[in-house]
Amino acid sequence: MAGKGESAGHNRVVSLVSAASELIEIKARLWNGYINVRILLYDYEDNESGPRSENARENTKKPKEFLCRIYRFSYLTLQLPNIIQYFQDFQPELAQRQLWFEYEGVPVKWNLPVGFLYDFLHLPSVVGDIEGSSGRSWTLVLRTQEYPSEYIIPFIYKNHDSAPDYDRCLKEVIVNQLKQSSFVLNGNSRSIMSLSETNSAKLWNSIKTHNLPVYESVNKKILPKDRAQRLPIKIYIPGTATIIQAPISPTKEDKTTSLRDVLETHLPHLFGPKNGNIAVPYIQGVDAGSLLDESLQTTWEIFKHLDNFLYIVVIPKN
Amino acid sequence: KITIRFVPIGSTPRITSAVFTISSNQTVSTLTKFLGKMLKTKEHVYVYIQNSFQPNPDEKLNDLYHLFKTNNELIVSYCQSVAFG
Repeated sequence: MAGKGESAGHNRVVSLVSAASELIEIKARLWNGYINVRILLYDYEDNESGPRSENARENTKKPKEFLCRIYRFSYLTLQLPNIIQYFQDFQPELAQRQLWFEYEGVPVKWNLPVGFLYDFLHLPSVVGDIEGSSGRSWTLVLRTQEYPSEYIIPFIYKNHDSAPDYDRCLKEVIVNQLKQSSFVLNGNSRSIMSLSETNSAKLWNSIKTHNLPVYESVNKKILPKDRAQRLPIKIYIPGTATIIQAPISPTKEDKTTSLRDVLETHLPHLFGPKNGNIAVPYIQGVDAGSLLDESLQTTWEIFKHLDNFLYIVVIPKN
Repeated sequence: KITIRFVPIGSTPRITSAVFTISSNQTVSTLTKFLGKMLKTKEHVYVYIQNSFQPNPDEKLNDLYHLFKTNNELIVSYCQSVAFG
């Protein structure tokens, strides 16, 4: 009997250790996840005046193409220096313009993480075709004119050469998102407001340079020490303007809140005993169906983005 | 409908009436446009929730209200320059 107990205890320790190392592995895999992005630049926007030669028309049909890999835990604007450098040979005035990205006619919100943008904009069209889509890239069009300020945040800060200061604009958005999520988590944003200058700079640089250890070392100063008051979660439904952000407590009447609880409460027409589950939640590009009954706080801890929000994309089944 | 209270920061002018009720499905960008009109400015108006963060323009006022209200009002501070770093 004693032997049996010992081995059960031993097994428990082994499984705890392996669970911890699995967690580290999952975090690293998420952090290193990237998306192959193909960026197209047409030159029609700049050739509106004057008759076009046969040659120019030919060029219009064939856009210039820039291929890159962008981490899911990153932002499109961070790629702009490389993109500008590459396309500048074809359109020298590019650097002065407010650049924006378009996906199938829709302006892409640069203030959101790339992994989320891919899941929200592109994933619905490749779901169910996972085999065929692997290795394929996500194609965006780089636009140089007619910045759609109504749909995406304008770049209000300029460098001294009057080119948009993309870095400063992105930094401001991220810091504010971090304050917002911190407020939800802690009931105030004191932890981030009181970060030292050095730590704030470290945090921003770790986001820019994709450095996980540095990012985590500063971010843990922002996160609640023990229990989160509420969880910063955003739920999106592709093709709609629906964004759900609600006060979600990690526990309710001593019961741990699960993803299922949240979906059934806020999207009863898509989830729940009445209608059956007629949609699938995706988190970081992964079908989160198997996480429905797990603790939402644990899922948030593992899958949250750089701004400490957990992004859930709900795709209705066909 | 939800109630919003506008509070100026620093030397930003006060608007005539500070408390408004607004349809809850409006977004933050409606709010900034409205403030721009009230302040008669074409400059960017910065808005802050809980004197700490700027919400994204596409966020719904209803969501922000339920997350960040104080005494059943969503307190929105505004300013014509960046206020809280």
